[in-house]
Amino acid sequence: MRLAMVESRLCNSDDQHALRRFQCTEPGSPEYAMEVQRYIRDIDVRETPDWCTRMVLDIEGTSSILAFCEFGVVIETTPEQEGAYAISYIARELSTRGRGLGSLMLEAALRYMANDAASYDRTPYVMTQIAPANTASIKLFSDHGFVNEGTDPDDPDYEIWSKEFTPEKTSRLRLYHSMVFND
Amino acid sequence: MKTTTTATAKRMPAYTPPANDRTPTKTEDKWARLHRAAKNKASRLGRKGLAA
Repeated sequence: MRLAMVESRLCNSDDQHALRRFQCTEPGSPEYAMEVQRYIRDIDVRETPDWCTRMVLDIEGTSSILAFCEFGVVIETTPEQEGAYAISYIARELSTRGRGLGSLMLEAALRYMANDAASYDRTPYVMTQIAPANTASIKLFSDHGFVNEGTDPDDPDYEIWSKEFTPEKTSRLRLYHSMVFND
Repeated sequence: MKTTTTATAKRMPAYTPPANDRTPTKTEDKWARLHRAAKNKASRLGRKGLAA
């Protein structure tokens, strides 16, 4: 056993190899889970659009990636119209299931968005799409205050879950969490 | 859990749709769907507040 520090940080080109091997679900899992794994493994970090923020949890000082989240400003706030943030994908490494890292990953992403909303006067609203059968994601987002807005009329395989958060400017954007690992 | 101070984050650029003359990437396709869902709600509510 060893004690290690898990940290959140923005994804960078050094993560490419770890993302290719990222495993968040078992073979034969439902499509909604396999799709996330395929998406993360297929990411070309060099081709990340500038409007897309990708964050990871890693073990400080190693190349291991324990969780991944992609989010961004999906619609700009203007004087006439509210804006919105969105979370497109979030997953934790299968080997860390049940350790609370999905929750830590989501907290780190929400903190980043809360800072952006406070700094640039954007609407503090974030949404995501979740397949109704994806009970793990529903629990994760529910636990963080997201509410179900119902089926997405344009994308009926998914429900829209959303949260209004408190804008909060901070310079403390990285989260750290100590964990015991069995090697 | 602890936090540490880092440099101030730069403004997050807002989503922009890809040009119409090419096939969207997986990322662009997912974000187009999220954008559509967000826009539907935003246009319904104007600047009244999303909780309204």
